[in-house]
Amino acid sequence: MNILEKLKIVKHKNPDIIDFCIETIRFRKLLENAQALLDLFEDGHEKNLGEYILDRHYVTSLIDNVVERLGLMIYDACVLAPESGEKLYTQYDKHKLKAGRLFRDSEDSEKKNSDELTSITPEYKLLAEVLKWLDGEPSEPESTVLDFMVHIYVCVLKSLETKNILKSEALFKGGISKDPGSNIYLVDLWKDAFFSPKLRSLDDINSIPLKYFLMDVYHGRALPNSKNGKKAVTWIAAASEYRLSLSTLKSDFQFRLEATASDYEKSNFIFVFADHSINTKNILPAGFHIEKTDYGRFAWSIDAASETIEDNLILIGRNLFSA
Amino acid sequence: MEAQKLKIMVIDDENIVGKRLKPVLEKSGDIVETFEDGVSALARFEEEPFDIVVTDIRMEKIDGIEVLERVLAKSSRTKVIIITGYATVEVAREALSKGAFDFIAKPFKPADLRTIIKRASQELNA
Amino acid sequence: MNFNYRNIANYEMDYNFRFRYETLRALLNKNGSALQILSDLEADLSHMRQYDARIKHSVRRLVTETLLMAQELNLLTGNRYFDLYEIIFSLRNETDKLFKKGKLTESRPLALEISSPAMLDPGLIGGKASGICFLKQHLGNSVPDGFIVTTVAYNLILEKNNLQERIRILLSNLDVTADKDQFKSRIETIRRWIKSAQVPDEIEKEIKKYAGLVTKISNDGLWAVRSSAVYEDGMHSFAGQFDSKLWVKAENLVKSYLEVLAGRFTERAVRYRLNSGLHEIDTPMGVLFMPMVDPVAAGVIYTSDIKDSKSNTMIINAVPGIADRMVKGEESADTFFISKEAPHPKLLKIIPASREARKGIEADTAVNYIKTGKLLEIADLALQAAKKFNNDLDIEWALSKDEKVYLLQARKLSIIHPDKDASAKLAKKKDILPILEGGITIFPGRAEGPVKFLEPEFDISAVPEGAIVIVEKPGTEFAPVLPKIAALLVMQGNPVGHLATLIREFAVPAIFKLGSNAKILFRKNIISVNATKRKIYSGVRWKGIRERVMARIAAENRHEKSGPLYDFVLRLNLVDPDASSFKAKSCKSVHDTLRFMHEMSVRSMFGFGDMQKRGRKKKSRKLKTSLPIKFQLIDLDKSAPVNTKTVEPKDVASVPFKALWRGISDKKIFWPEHWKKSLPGIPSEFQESVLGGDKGPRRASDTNYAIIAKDYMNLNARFAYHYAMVDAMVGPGTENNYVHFRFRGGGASDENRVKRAHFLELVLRQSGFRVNRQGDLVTAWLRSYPRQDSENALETLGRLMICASQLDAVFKKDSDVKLYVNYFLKGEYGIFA
Repeated sequence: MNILEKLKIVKHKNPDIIDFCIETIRFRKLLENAQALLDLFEDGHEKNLGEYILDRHYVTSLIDNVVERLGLMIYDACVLAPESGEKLYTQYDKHKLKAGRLFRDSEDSEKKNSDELTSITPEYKLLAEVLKWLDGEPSEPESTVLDFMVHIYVCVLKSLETKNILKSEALFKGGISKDPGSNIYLVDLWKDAFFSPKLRSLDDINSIPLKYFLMDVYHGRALPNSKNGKKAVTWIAAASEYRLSLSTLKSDFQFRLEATASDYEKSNFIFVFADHSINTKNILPAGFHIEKTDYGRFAWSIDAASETIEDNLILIGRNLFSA
Repeated sequence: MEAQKLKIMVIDDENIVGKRLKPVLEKSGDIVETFEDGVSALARFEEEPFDIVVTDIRMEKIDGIEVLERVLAKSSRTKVIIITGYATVEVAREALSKGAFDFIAKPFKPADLRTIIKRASQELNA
Repeated sequence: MNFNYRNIANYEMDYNFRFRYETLRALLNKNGSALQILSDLEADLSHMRQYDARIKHSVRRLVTETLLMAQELNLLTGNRYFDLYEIIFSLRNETDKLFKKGKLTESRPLALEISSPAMLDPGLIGGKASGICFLKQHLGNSVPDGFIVTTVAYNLILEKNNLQERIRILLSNLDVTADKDQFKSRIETIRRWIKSAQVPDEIEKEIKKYAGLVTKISNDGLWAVRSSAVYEDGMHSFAGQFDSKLWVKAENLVKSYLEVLAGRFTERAVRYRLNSGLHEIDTPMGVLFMPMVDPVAAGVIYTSDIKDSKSNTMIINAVPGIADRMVKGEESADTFFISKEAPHPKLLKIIPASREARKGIEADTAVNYIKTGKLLEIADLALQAAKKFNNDLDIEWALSKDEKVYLLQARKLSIIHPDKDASAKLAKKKDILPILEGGITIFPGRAEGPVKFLEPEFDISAVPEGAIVIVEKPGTEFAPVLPKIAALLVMQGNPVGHLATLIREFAVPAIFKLGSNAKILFRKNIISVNATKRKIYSGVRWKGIRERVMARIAAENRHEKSGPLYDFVLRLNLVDPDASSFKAKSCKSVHDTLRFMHEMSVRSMFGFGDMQKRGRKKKSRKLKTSLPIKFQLIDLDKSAPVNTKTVEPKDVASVPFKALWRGISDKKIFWPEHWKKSLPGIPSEFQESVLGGDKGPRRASDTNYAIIAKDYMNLNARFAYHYAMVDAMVGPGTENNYVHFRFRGGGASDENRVKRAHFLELVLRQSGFRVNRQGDLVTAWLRSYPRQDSENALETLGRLMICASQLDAVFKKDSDVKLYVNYFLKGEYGIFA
């Protein structure tokens, strides 16, 4: 069942744009849920260093939070990629069983004597087990939560790519603004769906990450073609004040960039996907965590400080577009 | 800077807390006594009031709020700091409005608690 | 969260079913977070400017969640609510416009001289100070030099001492009328914190700097340190609500500064702010420092006679020495009437202060501490000032030892035109004489109500709404009752001073100086007061007056929160799901859309069963019970036995539902027999919906339906015209547990509905919930509590819903509310039937 295909659009001029905007926002939500998961991992690791005073409650709530958050992320994925839904939920259920076992272990360990003369307290022992499940070295392939997350990304991006191919004709016609002579389509994420988009140039859209991204490469005319000297590439960028979602629309490679750059540092991040025809080493600055899959590479920023994000965006833009 | 030695009392039914906190807090020369339940802690407090009392909020026989009340009744100048397990606003509100100096949520670093204690001692000496 | 992952039952679930379930859960989950964001937003708006980054961030997050919820709703219903998208996108655009307007402050000064150039921002220096600055500008020499420590400094102190958050925590959920002790102790705590706050060096430096710059008037070098709150002296006069410190030595300026700041948090002042509908943030404080004038005479001048604006006279009140006690109502003043007619002001008449007030001076002795010439000089200056302000003014003045007139404070005076009907013909009972006559009209109008005499130390909850209060002296401690009484009678005391100002502001008919004869009123139960004609009658005299009075009081207390952020985000317009206006198109705010989507998503579950594969009946089933309550259950994960037509409560394995049911079915609750018999005059439809008759529900909303799973329940209940919603997640863990509750009562007068809501609010708070009450709608949350606590909370809710619905027409006074709260908390449920 793919409700999204059954959109009952009666009166709107730009049905595909509405669809596209909501899809972009949904994907962003998925990434936020993923980021929250990564933060949980990081928090667990930090507490594991040993400096903290913590209790069993911390560890069990870590397990609870991870399961909950993972569930949210999977739901988003199912909305975006319904064909993978069943598979994803089955795998999720397996992780829930594993979490359940860890939880039971924690209860057992509490029953054991607390004056056991080990140098590691039971809470820390349990924490170590949990971290292994989250993003440790996997005993079997694809059994950590992190692996699962990457797998989810693959399913979703594959699905988005397919949809984009179907839609790109519609978008060309549909009246999204286009900078004359340029190769980038601009969508104002919160306006264009219902308020007729005007033909606009890159200067007209008020988006901080977009400005940084194009700082070194856009000088009032078209964007230069990508570095790899491939055929003419068309890009689509959806932007709002603090967010940018950029992906290839018509090209022979796949690239996607999601970024938030705001004064509210907790929500800043950069997420990149590139298929194997692009060498991410040439594009990404240092400070990115990279996961390789058969489908392509996923990368996300580790440091969320505003300045770093801004610098990274400038760099990526430059690397991606300089002739 | 003449810092007087503080008498600090730590109450938490998880003995690991007292064990971890004692050496850290004693580093600055303060005197620390740890207890695992409210009853024995209050009995000791009766003998001799402490400058600072750090207490967990949820303990079995006597909970942190009761400790707070009894301590302040005996010695109104003592600064009481509450350790909360889940940092809910209600707990904070109740503690603060009953005269607690501040609260800290688990998990926390002993150094963070030390900072709060430092602030408390500044008020004590003001 | 989803199924209890710790015991996964071995049943298969087809993916479609699962996806629908997950969609519903995702939507409800988002709804919960969204309501939380709404509540936090409302609390934040009480101490942050609306263009603060955090507000913007919250609002945007809220709109995003709402949009995704709309997508989920459309997934559940085959795109039936596509219209919502446009509404939500447009709400986002409207709120974006708001955020563009305000700019965060650039570097703003911590202190300023009064003589600084024009157009000073009252948000920076406060109302009182901006009045004085304006005066200084135009009447230069007549206003002493001075300086102001700004609201920027105030905010800095709060920030540096980590006070914002702590104050907010203590002030949230504060009910001023209910628990007096709680209120008092919290306010004391805040005052203590402020008085012992560390003043940042930069502020101290500024104070010292300006204190040195300002020229002294007297040689003593003493200061007056006064509050200048934002909104003070504007529409809300705050008269007398803050402390001033007088005769302050230069070395104590900083200490006095903190004391005046702490004065913002006296019980009087906080009650006043809450009664006036002002939020915490709207009233930051500036503090005004002016050198003390050591006067031979001082007082107040009104540039028009408020009682008789056509008379073209001004009124001066004066006392020897400083006017401080006079304005507090503690001292009587001499009154001078000055004519404004051309060409020059002229003294018309003198009314000396009463013999009782000033010892040893006879009534008609000429006033010897101030000459007529000086009075006229004051009048002249005041007229000039009024011209500049383009408004009538209430000005504090002082005459120094060296014969110089100083103006110390100016407030705009609003001449209120009294109720026209006041001069209407008397009722037919012309021959009945008033039992008391005389005094001075402070505010005109008619009123009628029960008599209540108050001592200065009184319990506000003992004052009934609509009472006519009698007091001996006009102290400002009586200010908190003004919003809820019909009239105020004062035995002694001058028509000046802070209380008089407040009386005018709250438009309460009032008579001062009734004399000790007023004691005869104590024997009466109901009296009628004509404050315009200064006549008081026994019993009820005019028809319709009482209703009008009560309406005025109700309007006072329903202070509307306003502003575009409220309009687009917070305000709930869509309240009745049964109304024909309950449509996507009618959603005007984010809150509306949330309400709408929640209701529609739960209703969509009704159609749930029909969409399933053949052979798997997932219809809703009836809960079997002998109580007069009808429940339909929708079971999501086989928490109830599968093959039965009806379900017994004991067989339901849903943890939260069981807890709620324990409360509802508590044997101590008395279900009155007469509910089962037919009640005269009550339509049978009512009986149907309550008693669960044989006719099925005619509308979706007639039935109470509950969606259950092992760890989860969602209940929408309607009984006896009440609407209750319970959404709860209770698992073995703690972090993700929550209990959400919403209640809106029906079937009673507006007043009683609000009282019932108030009752709920108090019980819920005592039971550990965070509560938000808007009129008669109560919303409460309990989040992240362990399983046992969450279950206990649900049990309480079960009992509470039943008891609250039985509470119609029970409350007569505010104190009744508290009484029933105690009954409930003690478990005496029988009393509710």
